[in-house]
Amino acid sequence: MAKVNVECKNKKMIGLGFRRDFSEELIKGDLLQADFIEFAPENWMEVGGHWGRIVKQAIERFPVHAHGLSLSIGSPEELDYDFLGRIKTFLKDFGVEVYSEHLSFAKAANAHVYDLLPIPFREDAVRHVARRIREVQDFLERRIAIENVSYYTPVAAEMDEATFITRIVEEADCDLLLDVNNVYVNAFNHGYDTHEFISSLPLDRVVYIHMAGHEQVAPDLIIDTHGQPIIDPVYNLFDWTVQRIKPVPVLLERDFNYDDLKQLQQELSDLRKITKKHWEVAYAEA
Amino acid sequence: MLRPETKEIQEQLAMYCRSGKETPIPGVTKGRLPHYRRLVYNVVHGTIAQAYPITRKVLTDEEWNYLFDSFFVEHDAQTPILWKLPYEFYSYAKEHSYDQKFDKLWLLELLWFEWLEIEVHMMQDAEHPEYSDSEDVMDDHLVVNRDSRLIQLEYPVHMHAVEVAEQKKGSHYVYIYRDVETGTVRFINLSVLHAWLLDHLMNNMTESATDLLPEMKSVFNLQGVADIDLQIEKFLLEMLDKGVILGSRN
Repeated sequence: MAKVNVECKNKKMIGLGFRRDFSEELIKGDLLQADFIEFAPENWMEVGGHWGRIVKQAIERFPVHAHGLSLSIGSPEELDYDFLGRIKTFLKDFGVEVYSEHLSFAKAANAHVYDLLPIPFREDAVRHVARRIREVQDFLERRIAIENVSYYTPVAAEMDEATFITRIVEEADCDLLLDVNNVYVNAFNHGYDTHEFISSLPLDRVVYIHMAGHEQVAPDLIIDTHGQPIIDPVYNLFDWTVQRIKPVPVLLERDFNYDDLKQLQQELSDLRKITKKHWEVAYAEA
Repeated sequence: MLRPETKEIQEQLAMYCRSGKETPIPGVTKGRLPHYRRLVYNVVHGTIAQAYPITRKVLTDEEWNYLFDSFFVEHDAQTPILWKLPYEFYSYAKEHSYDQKFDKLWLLELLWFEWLEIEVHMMQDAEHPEYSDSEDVMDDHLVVNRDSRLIQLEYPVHMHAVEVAEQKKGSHYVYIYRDVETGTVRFINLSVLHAWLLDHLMNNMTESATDLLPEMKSVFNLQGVADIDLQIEKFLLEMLDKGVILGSRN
């Protein structure tokens, strides 16, 4: 298999998910200063007019990562090769450095549901999903990174989440996008220890980190909304995590509540401070 | 290979999110599944309601909910690109004759028009031949803005409230286009003659308006109509001014 291993030029970058509401501010670079941006291909592919022009400006200015929503890597059915072909074109046209997808499914019984549903943590699902990831990597001729997702209930589980993720990453020979907020959310919702969970993952496969805010909707439930600022315990977990991995790009995700861009920039700065503290000296060359 | 049982569990979960009808799924935490149902519903309903603000307003709550819920449960969404899902909503309403079910004959055309506004706003830039300012709109080979749709409606839902549009059944030609400079979507009402001319100029870039005049006069029985050439020229200049005609081909 001729895989292109796309390396990030600067692994200590702090990026921001590209959203329409603050796209022009981000390109202008006054209120928001990001080192790179991340597109959801499904929201930006095959788009022209005003948004097509904005996209062109953005990719001229920033290094680009892409984080998919609809490939549905955990679907029980066959891969959508037509869509995968369009993704491949997108990755090429946008000069995408890291392409990642969620370890979840968003399509079943030939219907998209446009949300991230939990895959049953089972042996047969490990083999099935790992095979699909290998097929995707072969088709795209590049490695992809798979993200640990937040989930609100296990479904017919026969193993724990960390084992499920580790087995898939190893069997698929793919990379890992570690979403630190999702670890926090899942640990809260399902009662496990965040440090123990992260320590049990194949941290040498981590090529990318996501950070975000969330919302507690019940005494025992947090929903991963991407609508609030990152809370201190998640910063603390991030601080703990970056000491255990090599430098990788870090992305802040925010999907709504954009009124205070200064506050969003503050989050980018806070993330940068933490990575600088741990990576600048230890990994001066990276 | 995925075991049939695992496949079925995944399909049950996805179907539950659409229908809200709980089926016993092993190993789920009590009370957590409805959150998935709520999240999926909100994403899809938000996308559809935002795409069809006028339809949402002119249907009763009961009609809207019935149409949306039927779509949500019955329709297997095919597009991986969420902003294109509203087209499937329109197609679903058409396929299931909701205009007749609700006795609202304008409904499908209203949905179609609202969808086209989104499509024209978002679609990829069309390839235009190189062009420059037109010095003679009658004899130049004109370049028509192809970031557009030229449609025919029975009910002029793009201009009038639906109660009024219902009374004005006829042949209404509308050119919906995206301004190449600003990206703004606009529309223009056209007479059948002007629609014919624009369509021919768009699809046959080797002929000028003067070249097309004899055929146009024959099709519309315009022989002997005074000043037809001047009227066409006036129309083309207006289209040039509005960005419907971009210029003349280099």
